[in-house]
Amino acid sequence: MLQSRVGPAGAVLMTLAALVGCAQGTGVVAGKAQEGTSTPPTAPQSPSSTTGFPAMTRAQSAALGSLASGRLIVSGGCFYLAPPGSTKQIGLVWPYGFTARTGPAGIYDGHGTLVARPGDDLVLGGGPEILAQVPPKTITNTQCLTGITTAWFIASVGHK
Amino acid sequence: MDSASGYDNALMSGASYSDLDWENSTPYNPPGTLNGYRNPQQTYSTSVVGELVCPSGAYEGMVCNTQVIYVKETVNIGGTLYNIDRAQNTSTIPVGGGDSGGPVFTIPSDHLNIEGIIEARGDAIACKTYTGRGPDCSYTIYYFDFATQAALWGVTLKTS
Repeated sequence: MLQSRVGPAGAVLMTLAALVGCAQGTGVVAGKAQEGTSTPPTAPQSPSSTTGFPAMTRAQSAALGSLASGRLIVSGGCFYLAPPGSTKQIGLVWPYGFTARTGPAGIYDGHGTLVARPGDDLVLGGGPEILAQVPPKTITNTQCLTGITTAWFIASVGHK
Repeated sequence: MDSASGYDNALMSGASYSDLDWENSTPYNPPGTLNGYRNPQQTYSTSVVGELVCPSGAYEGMVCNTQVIYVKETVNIGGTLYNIDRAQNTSTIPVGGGDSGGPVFTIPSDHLNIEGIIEARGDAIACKTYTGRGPDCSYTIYYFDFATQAALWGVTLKTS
């Protein structure tokens, strides 16, 4: 079992690498290499070109005013929020400009700042939306939302 | 939640109901300092442009002198908010992530007049309290009209 040999953290990093690998196949270019990393970070040409990373296609001037807290997990190549004490996994739609990258592995905002890593305990501003009622072309890379009725539209990312 | 009926709503019911108005009277107090007030004279009405209201979210607390600038708007935030009212405060932050569900009211003469329920925020700025939320606060607040929802669902304000 590959996963049991590399451990959960390794599996997560492999999954994240796979996500970025998909992105590289969809037009991602290599970014500036950082010291101490063997894999150069990637900088997507378009903000949400990472396959399997649902994000808004444009910036929003308003957002729902709720908070959700939980651990950022990766399952089946997709990011979810796992609330404490619950077996639920909440599907996520990230803000415009956010991307998943390696070097170091994590989720970056539109300014290239690392804002979250798998395993982080997060506080996510925003709120739930019924995906069937979201206008077309509002979200890119919707593969990870397949089968999900309601997703959390993230407005801000904080840490517990 | 968006609704095909054109209203953002959900009806929750329970076996018993508090007859307290819950609000956080001190701006920027952390959650857990909410106060419950019992006032049998409370009323409700619909907001009008130019009116000054007092939102009272769990995190930002009661922030009066917040001016209504639009009523019954349709606002796209990824999904769509229908029949939403907008108010703005130019000096004190009235809303942030986690404030949703808090009341919006006026204080006409020693009683509370309910006008709405906090639903969303406008352009994001840094919060002054609980900064772990990230930049999830705003001078602009969106709230849904209580009277419209009460009529739609056939509910009344509990006053005793």
